[in-house]
Amino acid sequence: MEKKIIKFRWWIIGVSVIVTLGFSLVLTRLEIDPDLRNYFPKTMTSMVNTDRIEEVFGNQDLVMIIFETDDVLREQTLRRVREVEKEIGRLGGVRRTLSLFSSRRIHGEEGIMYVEPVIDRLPRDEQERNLLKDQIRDNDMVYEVVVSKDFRATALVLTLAKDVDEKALFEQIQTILSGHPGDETIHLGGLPYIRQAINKNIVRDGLVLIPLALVIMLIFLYVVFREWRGVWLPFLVVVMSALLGLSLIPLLGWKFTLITLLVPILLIAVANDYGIHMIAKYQELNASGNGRTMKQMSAMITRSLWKPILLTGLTTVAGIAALLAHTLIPARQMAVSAGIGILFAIFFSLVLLPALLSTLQRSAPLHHMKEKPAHQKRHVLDRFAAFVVRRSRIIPYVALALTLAVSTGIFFLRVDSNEENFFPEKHEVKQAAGIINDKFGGSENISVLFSGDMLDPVLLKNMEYYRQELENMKEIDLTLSFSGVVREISKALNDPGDPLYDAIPPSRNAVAQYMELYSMSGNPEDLEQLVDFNYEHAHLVVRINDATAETINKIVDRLESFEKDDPSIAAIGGYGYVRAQLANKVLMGQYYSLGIALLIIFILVSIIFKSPVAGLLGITPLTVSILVLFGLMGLTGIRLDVATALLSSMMIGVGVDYTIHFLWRYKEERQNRLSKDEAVTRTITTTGRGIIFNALSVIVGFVVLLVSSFTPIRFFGILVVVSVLSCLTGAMVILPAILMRFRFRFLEPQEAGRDRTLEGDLKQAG
Amino acid sequence: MRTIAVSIILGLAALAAVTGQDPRDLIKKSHDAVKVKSFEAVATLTITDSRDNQRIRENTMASMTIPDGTEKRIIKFLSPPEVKGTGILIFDYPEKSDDMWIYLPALRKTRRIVSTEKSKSFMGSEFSNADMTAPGLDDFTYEMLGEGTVDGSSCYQIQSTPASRDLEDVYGYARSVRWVNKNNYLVQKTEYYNFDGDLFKTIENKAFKELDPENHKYMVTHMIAQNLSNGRSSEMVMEKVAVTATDPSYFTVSFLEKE
Repeated sequence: MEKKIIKFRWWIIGVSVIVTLGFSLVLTRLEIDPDLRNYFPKTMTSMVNTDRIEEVFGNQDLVMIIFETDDVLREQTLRRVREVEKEIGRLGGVRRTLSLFSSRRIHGEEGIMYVEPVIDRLPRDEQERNLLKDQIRDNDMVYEVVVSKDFRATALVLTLAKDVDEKALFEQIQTILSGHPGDETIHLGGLPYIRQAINKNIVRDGLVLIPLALVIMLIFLYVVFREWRGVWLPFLVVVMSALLGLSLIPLLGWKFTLITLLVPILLIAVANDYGIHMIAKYQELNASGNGRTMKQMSAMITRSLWKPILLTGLTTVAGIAALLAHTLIPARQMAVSAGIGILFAIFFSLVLLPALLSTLQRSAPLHHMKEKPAHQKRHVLDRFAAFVVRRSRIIPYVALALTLAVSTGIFFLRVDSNEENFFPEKHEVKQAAGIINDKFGGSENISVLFSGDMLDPVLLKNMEYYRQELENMKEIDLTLSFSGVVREISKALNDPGDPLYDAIPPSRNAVAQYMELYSMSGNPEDLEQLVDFNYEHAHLVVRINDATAETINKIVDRLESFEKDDPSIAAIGGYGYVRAQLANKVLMGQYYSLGIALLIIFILVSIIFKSPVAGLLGITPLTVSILVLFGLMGLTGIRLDVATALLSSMMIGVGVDYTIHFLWRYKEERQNRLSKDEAVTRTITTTGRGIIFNALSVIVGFVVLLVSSFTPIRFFGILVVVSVLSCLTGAMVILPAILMRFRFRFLEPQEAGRDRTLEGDLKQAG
Repeated sequence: MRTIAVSIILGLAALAAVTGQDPRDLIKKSHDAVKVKSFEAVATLTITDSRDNQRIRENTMASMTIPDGTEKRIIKFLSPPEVKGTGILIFDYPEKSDDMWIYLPALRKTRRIVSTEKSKSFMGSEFSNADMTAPGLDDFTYEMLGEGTVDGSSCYQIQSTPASRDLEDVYGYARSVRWVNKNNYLVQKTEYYNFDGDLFKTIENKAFKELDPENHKYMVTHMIAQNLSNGRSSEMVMEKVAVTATDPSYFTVSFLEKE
């Protein structure tokens, strides 16, 4: 095969370049999708129900502009809010605005119903302000909706027009806000704004992280190889396979998501491994200086390395492919694009790289290659090996105890599917979310869809009963429902003391007449989010400020108990519910993809070493590192989220390489009739260097994630380091100790001949 | 060359003919043409939402303007059955806020409503109350845009722009364009543009009835509003239109409560 590579080298180079460039053209069509709801599978019950509710009541996404100061009823603050609202209300992309100024105070007194704006005249002194505060506290449509309980924040709530260009709209809003300066701190919140911020940050991250990762990789390659061909050849493999992997995204009709951001970084970190081994082998052959031509050397490299590269490459692909079983749609897309990207990297490393190398002039052998590797390092590894051998009796038990201790953290592991937490604590989105949760009843929704005759007083009384029951739960701050509106109207049309006051009226005609009068005096769209045009569907919205899965599950359980006995409850949905269900699914998806990854790795390692015991040995260090990873996440409070949930099965694919390398070399040394002690020492001091080096390149590739603008991606970066280190410990400490303590027939000396290995080559390459 | 010269001359002549008319004057005439002191009618209001759901309301209405400028209006629902008999009585004073009474037959109850703000929508439809009454002439500046034909009638095309920023906010649009019939000064069609310059609503007056042939006073008997921003449309058809609503006893609470 390797001879054909040299023979057809120009064909290989030409076709590779043309195919890569051709595919890369579609990257110009790449679109970003910042909308988390598109990441969820459409078949989830909560998602199906939410879609159904949105079909009737439209998208519930609101934008909130929050003005925060000591007292929002101060004259200058009110003036500012009024001016800003007027200007924003003029924007074509804004369908409605709601604020202290556009809200009304409807109240009944002595047979008269008063309809007034909440603020008729700006209050001028403390006394007027206190009077206004009392009126606001009595107004359910305003208190905690547009003014916070403590009067330190007031909200301007925007309903956006359909299909509005959100980016342009937020620019217009920012211009208006800066045109009306003031002392108040302004926060922007709501899903459309969060989406916008996510979009902006994905672009920023893409533009910063990818080039930065490439630069770091270039420096790393130069430090390692000290010659330019050692830099650009592996680099080319990385760039080409990353381009091909990424081009699959637009090609398959997918969009770039927060998670997809990990694809190029993963490819940069992992895809260079194979090229690095090839270059190391070249330098080793070159240094041995026995007058081989470039063509001969290039062919030799592929011949000696295709097996280990293919094996370790396939296990990595297997780990990533396990993400196909994941709940999140972008995770499955990542499995495809990153998996195929790595297959290309294997192909380019084994075929394109030698083809290119064979066209180059022979470089001068590197000075340090001729010498022994640095003494100190060898010394450190020798001492390390001696330690492992000496302590091999207790290492498995200490490791087991430590693993068990850390893995208790798994019980504290929490799942998070809230967009707000994509941003660091100090980020404006996060701060705005904090205020909305603290002061405005929360930003998370659960929705209940009622279907039937919405003018029927019996149905309305039931709806009102459910609403009351929900409001009595301490987790719920605010509920909105059509029945609540009918009651509110009854307060305006009847005097206190009248049995009709603050109640659902007794007859269907009375409800119809209430509504007719309301629609005459208000904006026709006022109620369209709570009841539909034909009074056939109504909506009960529950706002929650503590959007943990446990709270939401508790509320949904309560709602389901109502639903069981009431056919008029047609669906329970809302994004709060979707997220809670997703959280459960992320956890399940995690177990699935972990299980699948471990199974595939078990089978592959069993095949490689022709022994199922080898398969078990192979997954032991991985299991330890997974337990440690989840345990640490639980103990440190890092949550399993859209990004960190992808980590474990990916790391299995990458981390298993170390185990394979170790077992391969150890087996070889045993077959050379070395004792267990000697074989372990030999493996640690030779192959161990390659393994450490390999792990280092992965860490270096992922370390750029620490400067991402997204918290989950940053944590992903940190956790990669933890995982790589624990996989490393598993392979270099626990595995050798186990090998020494127990007898494994597949590793024992047999008649098998000696095979060249990647690790051996790396050892020599240094 | 000659054809170009001729068309330039003809074009200039046409422009002169158009500019010969003062747009403000034309708008005043259009207001006057529909100014009737009193009327009564049976009206059918059909509101259609973006999904073609319809809400059909049939009611009788009467209006009378007394010498001090106060317009008294009464509206009573005929159908659908669940709201039959529901009524509303409004005294629309020229200077102060409206007085309003509502009657709910299901509870046999009348309630007075004091509202400091005028409702923007006419009975929950896409017609605004400003569409139903003539707005203040001085609230706008006018510009002649040209001529056009609507439903076969030759019209002046006149643009009205609110005279101040505050008035823009009161009326809720940046400008409107009216097609005013050259013969009788009736507005055939109006287009409304939002502050981004986009068309968001049109109102077409499809039919008129001449109530007072002597003074050339008309009543719009068929109008259609299309709201492009929410996809809703409203249609109002007036039947049995007459100028007979001159009995002051129509405009009282006791008449409101009569079923």
